[in-house]
Amino acid sequence: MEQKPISRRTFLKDMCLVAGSTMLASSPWFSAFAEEKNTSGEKARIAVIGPGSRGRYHMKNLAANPKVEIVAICDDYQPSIDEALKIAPKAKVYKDYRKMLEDKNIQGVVVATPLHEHRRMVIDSFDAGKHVLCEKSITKTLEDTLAVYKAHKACDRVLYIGQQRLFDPRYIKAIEMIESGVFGPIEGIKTFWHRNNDWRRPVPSPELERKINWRLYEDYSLGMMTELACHQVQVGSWALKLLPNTIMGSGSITFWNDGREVYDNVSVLYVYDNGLKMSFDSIISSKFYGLEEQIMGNKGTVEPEKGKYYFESVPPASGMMQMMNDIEKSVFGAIPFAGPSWVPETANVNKGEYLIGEKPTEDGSSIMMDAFVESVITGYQPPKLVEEGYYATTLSILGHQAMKEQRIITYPDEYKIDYLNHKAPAAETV
Amino acid sequence: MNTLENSIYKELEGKGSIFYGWATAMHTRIDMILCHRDKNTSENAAIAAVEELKRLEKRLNRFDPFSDITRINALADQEPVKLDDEMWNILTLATEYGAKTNYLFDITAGSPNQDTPPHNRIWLDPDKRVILFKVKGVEIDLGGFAKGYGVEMIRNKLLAEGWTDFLINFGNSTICAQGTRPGGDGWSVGVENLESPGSNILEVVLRNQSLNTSGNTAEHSRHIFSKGIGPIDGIGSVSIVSNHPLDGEILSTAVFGACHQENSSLAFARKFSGIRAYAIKYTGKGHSLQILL
Repeated sequence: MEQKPISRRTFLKDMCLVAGSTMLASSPWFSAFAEEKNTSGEKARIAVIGPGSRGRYHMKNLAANPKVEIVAICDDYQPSIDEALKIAPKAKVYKDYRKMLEDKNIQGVVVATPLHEHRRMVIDSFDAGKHVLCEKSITKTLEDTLAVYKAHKACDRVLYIGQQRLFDPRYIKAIEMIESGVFGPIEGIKTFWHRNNDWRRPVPSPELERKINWRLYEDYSLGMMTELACHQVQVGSWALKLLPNTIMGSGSITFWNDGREVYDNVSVLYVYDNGLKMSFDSIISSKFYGLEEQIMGNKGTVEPEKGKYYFESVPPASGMMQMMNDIEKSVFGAIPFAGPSWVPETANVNKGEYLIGEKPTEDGSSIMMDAFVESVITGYQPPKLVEEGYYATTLSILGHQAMKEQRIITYPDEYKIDYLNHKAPAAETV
Repeated sequence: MNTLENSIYKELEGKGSIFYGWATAMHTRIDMILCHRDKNTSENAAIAAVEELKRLEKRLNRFDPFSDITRINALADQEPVKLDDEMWNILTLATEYGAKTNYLFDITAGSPNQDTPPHNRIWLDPDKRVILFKVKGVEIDLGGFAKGYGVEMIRNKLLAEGWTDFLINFGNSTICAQGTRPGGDGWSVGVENLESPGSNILEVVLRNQSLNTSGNTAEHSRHIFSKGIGPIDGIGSVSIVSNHPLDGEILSTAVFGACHQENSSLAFARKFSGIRAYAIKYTGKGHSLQILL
């Protein structure tokens, strides 16, 4: 069957139909949209620090939202400013973000700079009374990440972390199904993100190498762990409702030996107290397997990136699943499933089923940005969002540490916060 | 392995609940939606239904060397075979349907020996409750009967237990819809266009009714036998809406067969109450839908 792209608005409308049901239980941050009606006609005045490629992607999503005014941009790299002004021609331009934060007109700030800048930019934004969306990873050290978390807890401002899978329709449906028990107990998660390119951006002049290719240098980034794994290991806590306490791994540079400092070939294993494991693998010199999170249950497996699920034996009938969904959403229509007898021969190949009826063309980023805009207007902090981001970051950092130090790491108590099976240390409770 | 492959249960805001369970039985799949009871009660009802089908399958499957029907097929041309109550009821019912459909439905249609007319092939003795084949080479095949019978049994049991709203889909070809889906008025079901999966050729709303379909697909044909013709070729199907899944099961086969007979009449089908019949034909350049009754 032809799969049609799903629009952001259609998806939000669909979700509103089931809001209050299972979706809000598994993805509580969607409560950000609960106030949507009350904010119509209002504008969120937002500034972007670091309108590089990711920053401008966010700007495009912001510009598409009628509730947004992009009032300022800040960068010390003129080509990024020039490109960003094409999206938001009326935005004020700053080179110093601290100067920008003095602007009382700004309500929310998007931080999309290299990781080593995040801590001060986020905390300074809170201090200036701004709501913040900080790109993942939160930072590149455990200490900085905890500092950002504590600063957020100590203020009344909203914080979003750019973990867009949390807003991706495929993932939301996958988690809903996992929680329904339809895949049986989840027995493990295999995540991988393979590519075949040097991960470099063109550098107009050699002195700009570290500024532009900051992902390749340890002063600014932990490479594939903070840039790629961070997205994928977050799925572990969402799907399992558990956090791992043992981390091991091995990393090396095997192909792109071009002066970079971060690994181009990594394998990390996260072990949960109950014996379950989640792995992350990334090789950026072979791309056949691409990226996926294979969430493997006793009765079925789900691959949210592909948007598909597979049952171990006989899957549910797609027509019947459609009927269930239609009933749940009070949609009426005759479902096409009657016909000559179904025989097993017609179902020999397990091609899986789509998680949502229509294949989405977006990864949740625009929905995440819409949610942030709602929160900037209402001041509402959706639950669990920061905690999911916190552990995505710290687990990525610990994976890097395990590889770097070539040892098995136990999740350090001093960096635990109150979330799922983790408890913050008593004296340090925040 | 569990009786049920799996199930999903959903609470509906202000509209009760729905349970969906599925399994395989009788060489096909069964999908059941049961409404408005708690998860455990629903699951137990679904499990009981599948167990009933599997029990019947063990008795009625002629491909199972240990089934009752295999034993009857092996022995009844040599000596009378004693039948228990259930098997007696099944075989008398099946032969009565044969007579009612002018043997367009015939449990002996696939027998190697076609010389004797269908009504003269087997003898059921009501006094001794035995079956005897009157001629050699008779073979009983309950393939076109068992699914409808099984669903009829399940439906009756669910009704006796007080279930009011449910849908049983046995292999897509036998759909029994009782009451209504939550928030609706009956159950809307479409007969799928085999050339354009996901779209309907025919849409019907069922309420305390069944929709049975018999026919050939490109992958699965020549499995329905018709009087004097043998296995039927061509891609197409007949769908019957009826008040009873077993009536529908029998009539879908019989009417499909009648459509392939010269000078056929559907007068026999009109004797059943509450029947609607549709024929779909695929020509290679599209399809046609004909309302037969």
